[in-house]
Amino acid sequence: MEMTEQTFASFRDLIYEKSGIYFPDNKKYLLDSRLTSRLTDRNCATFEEYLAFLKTDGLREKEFPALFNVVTTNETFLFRDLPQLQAFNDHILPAVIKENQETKRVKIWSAACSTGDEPYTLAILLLERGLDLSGWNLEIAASDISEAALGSARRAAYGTYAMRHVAPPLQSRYFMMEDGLHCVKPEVKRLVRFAHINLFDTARVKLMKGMDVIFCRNCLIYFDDKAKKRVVDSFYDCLNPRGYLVIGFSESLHNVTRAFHPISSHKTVVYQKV
Amino acid sequence: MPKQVLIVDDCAVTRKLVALYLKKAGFGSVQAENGLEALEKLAQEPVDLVVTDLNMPRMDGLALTKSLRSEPQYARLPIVMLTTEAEETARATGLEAGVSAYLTKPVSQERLDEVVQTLTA
Amino acid sequence: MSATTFEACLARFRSSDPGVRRQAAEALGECNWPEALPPLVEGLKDENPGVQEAVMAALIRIGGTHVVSSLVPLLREDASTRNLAVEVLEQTGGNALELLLPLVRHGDPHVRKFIVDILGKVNDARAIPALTAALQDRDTNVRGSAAEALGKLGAREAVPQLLRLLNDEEWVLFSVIEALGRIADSTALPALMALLKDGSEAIRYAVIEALGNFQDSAACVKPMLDLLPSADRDLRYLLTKNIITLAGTNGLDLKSMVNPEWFVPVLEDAVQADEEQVILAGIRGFEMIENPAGTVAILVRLEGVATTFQEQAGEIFEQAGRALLRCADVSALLAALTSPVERVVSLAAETLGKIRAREAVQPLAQLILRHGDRDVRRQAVEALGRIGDPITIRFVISALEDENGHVRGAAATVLGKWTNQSGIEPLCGRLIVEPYADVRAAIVDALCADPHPLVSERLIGLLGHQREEVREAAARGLGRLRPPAALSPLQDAASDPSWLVRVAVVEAIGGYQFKSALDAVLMGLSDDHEKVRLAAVLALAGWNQPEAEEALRIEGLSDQDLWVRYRACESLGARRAAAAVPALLDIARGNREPVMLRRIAVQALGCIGDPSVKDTIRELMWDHDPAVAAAAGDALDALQGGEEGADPWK
Repeated sequence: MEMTEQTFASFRDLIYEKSGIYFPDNKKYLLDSRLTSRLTDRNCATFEEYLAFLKTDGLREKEFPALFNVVTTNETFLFRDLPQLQAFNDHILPAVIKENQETKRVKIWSAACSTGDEPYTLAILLLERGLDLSGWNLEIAASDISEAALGSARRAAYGTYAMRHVAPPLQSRYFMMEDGLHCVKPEVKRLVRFAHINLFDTARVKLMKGMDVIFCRNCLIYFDDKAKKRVVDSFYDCLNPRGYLVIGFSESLHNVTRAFHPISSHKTVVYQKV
Repeated sequence: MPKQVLIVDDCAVTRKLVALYLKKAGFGSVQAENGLEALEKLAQEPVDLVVTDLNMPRMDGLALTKSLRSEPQYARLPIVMLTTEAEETARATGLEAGVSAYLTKPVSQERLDEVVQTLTA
Repeated sequence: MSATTFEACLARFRSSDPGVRRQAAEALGECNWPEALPPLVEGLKDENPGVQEAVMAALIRIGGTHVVSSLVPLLREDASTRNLAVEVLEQTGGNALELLLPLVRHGDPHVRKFIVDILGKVNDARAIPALTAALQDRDTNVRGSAAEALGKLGAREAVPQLLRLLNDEEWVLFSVIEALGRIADSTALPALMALLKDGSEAIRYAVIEALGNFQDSAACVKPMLDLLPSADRDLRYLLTKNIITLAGTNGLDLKSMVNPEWFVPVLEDAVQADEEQVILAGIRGFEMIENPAGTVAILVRLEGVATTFQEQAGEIFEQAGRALLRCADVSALLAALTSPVERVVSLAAETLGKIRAREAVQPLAQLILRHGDRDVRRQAVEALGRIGDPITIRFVISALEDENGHVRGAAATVLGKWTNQSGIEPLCGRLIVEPYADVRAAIVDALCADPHPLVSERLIGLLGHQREEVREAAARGLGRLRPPAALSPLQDAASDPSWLVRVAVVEAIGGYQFKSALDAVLMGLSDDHEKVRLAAVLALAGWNQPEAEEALRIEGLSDQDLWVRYRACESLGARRAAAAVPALLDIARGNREPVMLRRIAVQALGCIGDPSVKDTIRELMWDHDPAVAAAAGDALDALQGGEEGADPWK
């Protein structure tokens, strides 16, 4: 089934208004295919009926989470984009440790955590450093707009595809096999807390304070410059002075803000709050 | 390997013209529209020369120069400032910040070529 | 904000903590105190970028002529301050144009240039006269910026003045050419073409690029073709891109304009490029000249594209598909069937199918039997379908048992197209064990395409199969074919234990519209599962019998499921069921009913046309919910239209 241009524009605007996610014209086909399951579940015969339902009915607040579930893509895996993780390990983490010598605390936010691959990866990197042993307080906050993805993340069980970049010694150290899936061990899960956060909900985002590092990879590409600026501005307020922001390796902040300084490490760029 | 120049200017037309002028001098080019993008591009591939405007949004040419000179790996990177700001004070400020050469717009292909050849000999 | 709060805010703006200053800046931007402006303007000099950004946002938020006039003096401060001022002016200048325009004649050329650049970004056509005058500025950089700004504004009226600058120094000339390209007014063409002959290399490059934007510059194609032999690689790529673009938009017969002997190597070269736009131009060029050499060139390049471009390769493959149809060199395509790159094999198979190459039948059959990639096997099946050679049916039938669902689905679809009797048994056999719904649907489609009596017979038999998915599919198929013999078995199946089957059965029976079938549908209306009841309501909607209307009115409107009630209202409206009016009124007025139900009830009342409801409808035009109010307005129009004798639903 295909929706008309006009209906597509209405959906696009509504989704943008509620979440900041922007569907350009050449991605219309994605909405066509992804919304079909919502239509069936909601007994709507046409996209227009579903749109009217979203806009006017009292039940709509329950429908938006389901909508976000189908509209966001969740293809990810652990230890993704290695150069960035190396930059985190070799540059960011030592800097944060040095900065927080007195408080002995590291607080990281994985702001588009999807099915949990990224926060668990970061937790493993922290544990590999032995930070938990020397009395450091480690917190990883992980959030996403998709409840379904968060559900998966909490289950913390991964198949071979998601594990394919995890080195074997790390696999045996931090995962255990159950029903053919690699399950994250409790000492790793303990470091991560999950929450449902829509990055466009600036008031909610501002509650995330005192972060040393924020990861937001493969999420800002769905936003236009205006939405990107809004999200990055609120990230600035969430970060500690000299805190770090890591965005997708193909993304850039140069057309959006001056308040972050790009730092090069391992042929990739991470940003520091100036 | 042909030499590479990083051209930094918020005006696309200027970037194109400088790229064409330097192509004749044997340079391949990478472009950035302000100092921040310049730093990002430099992270990904090294260049032999930087030609930068002064007045740009988000990070101007002076701030870019100071940032580059504060890092040991860019201490010897030739930086040419190419700007409309022709006053002596502006030139002095630029040289003090560490630019290798200060040129004013408009610049001819011959002049640009001359300066660049000297710096990258 | 009170005076004391404001003072506190100002104090925080002077804090030594940049985080505090940043928040204070945000508050000052929202406070509505004009005294906030001078400190904010000073705040642009803050050394902390986070504060600078908050100050900029605050100034942009305040906007207006005072902000603009406060910022203009900053244009001659230090680099950091003046660039911040420019950024804010770009966002606020649009509302203070009358302040900026006179500054185009400011005494300082730097200020003039800044203002001209800002006007180029503000995008207000009222700036065009001032900018056109600035083309005569004595400062070179101002003239260049003015040309550029006029280009951005698409200022057609400035073209004569721009043309006069074509004798200016090269720095300005470059901007002028670019502007003429953006404006793309054809009066500029002769002058631009002249530059192609005597300009410097940089100028010629600029002209060629500009020419690519002109819609009607078919006349430029020939000179550009002439430039090809002597051009270096970068220029050749640019020329190729523009020649192909212009030929495309002007519908030129490029084939007749070029000699393949020297043009084919140019295209082969372009296809080999790294830049996507150049590759596309090369491919498109081959499509235009329909030269078989293109097949090999394109296929070879595609092998590299699939790995280097990955996601963006889509457009290249799409364009290549179109071009291959025109260049089709069958032997090259056949050779490509053995390529190690699956995407190339798929495309070759697809192309061979579309050109109906009989020589490809055997190799395609081999792909179906042996190739590891599911997309390749699927394309091969579809290609055999297009070629349509009946001896290949056994390969398509074997593809019904492929390990991949997409391939099986494609095989079913092809068998449906061929409606060959020998396909019926294999299709039914597959249906019995098929796990995927979409493949089962394709099988049912295929079976229903053939009105052969054997199909109905087999489907009736499958109504009793142990798998519920098979029973459902059988019911769906019978619903499409509606053979008389199936009505009785369908009625028996109306009490199937699976709701999925019951839905399909009710839908199927609904299509028969015999009085004897009505009972089964009415039974569906009291089913446990809401989707069955919904199917029953939808089936009844199409029936004229008064029992159907009564059932809709009594059971449909009082069903516990929202959607059942919704569809019941809708169809009662469509069939002008006067007896339903009281119940519909209750729903329309009911405050605790969901909005969408009230809305459809109002709409239905409008359709039924009973004038006694007009007062209620009129009241509802003031309903607190905008959707209901709007529906009431439409319904009232319909009711009044009915009174005048015109049928609003004609």
